[in-house]
Amino acid sequence: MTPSADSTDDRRSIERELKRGSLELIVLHLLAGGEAYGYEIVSKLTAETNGALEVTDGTLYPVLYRLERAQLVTVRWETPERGVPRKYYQLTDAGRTELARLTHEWTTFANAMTTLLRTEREGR
Amino acid sequence: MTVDQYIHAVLDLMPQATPNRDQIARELRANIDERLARGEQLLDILAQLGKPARLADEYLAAIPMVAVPTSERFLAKLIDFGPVLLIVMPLVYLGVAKIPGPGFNWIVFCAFTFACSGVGLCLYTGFSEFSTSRTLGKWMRGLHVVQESGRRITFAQSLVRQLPFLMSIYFIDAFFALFTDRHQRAFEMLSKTRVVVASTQEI
Repeated sequence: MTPSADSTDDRRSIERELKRGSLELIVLHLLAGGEAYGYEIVSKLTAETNGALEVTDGTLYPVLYRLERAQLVTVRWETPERGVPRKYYQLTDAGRTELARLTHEWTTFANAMTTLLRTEREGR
Repeated sequence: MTVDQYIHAVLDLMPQATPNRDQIARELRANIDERLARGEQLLDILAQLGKPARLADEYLAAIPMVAVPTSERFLAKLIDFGPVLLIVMPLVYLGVAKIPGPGFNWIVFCAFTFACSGVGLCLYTGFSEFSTSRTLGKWMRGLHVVQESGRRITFAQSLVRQLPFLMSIYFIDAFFALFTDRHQRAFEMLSKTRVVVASTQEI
């Protein structure tokens, strides 16, 4: 493998890990506006971030399953007479508390990183 | 690969005791149907979902694997032994009764009962753990057998798990469970399997 391929892989890996670490926060945040079903969550994320953040179904559904098991969301099925059945997710009170906690953690982390990187740049 | 085949491949890797297993299948199908209805190609949709093994692992990662105390496992094994003994004993009795000679040979009866029960227990456990991830005893004690990744065990792994019984070194093998972090027998470590508390909490 060439060095450039290595660095590309590293970069992808960092992106992947960052996304993975923040996925629960992302999903909880998107559900804060009201209940939504899987496809809707994916579409909302792409639309609200202008495509900068995208998540595949294979990553999203296990996260929703985790949130459901942790009772951070409740679910209900809606089966229309015509069309496909949909599973709607809605935040619980515990989910809102977790969202507030994760948001605080993320903001603290992001601020710390911004300060660090700014200091680094100014020091050069 | 069809939708059914894909969903079956995902579920097949999950132990039967996986909570909300049916819901997972229903949701995957609903998602695929939703995208198909919007005109997307099935191949693209399945690519989005990823390989069945990877998707199953992502789901299974949400389920904590709680190690089981050795005493619980011993109880489960004892429960398993009961029905096997109940089936084997009359059969051996009938067999030994047919041996010509003066009176009923109790020594032969006991020896055969012991040997046949051992083999019977081994076959039953191996088959049951492979097909349902648990035996009667494990089901009653709320336990099940999984791979170290949480996946359902394979046939080969279920065989390796039973080797110490067939090699008559079960007690040496079981001794390891007292001292290993995850309470694993030596042949469980070898087969990369674990006995864990079955998290059956449906939501």
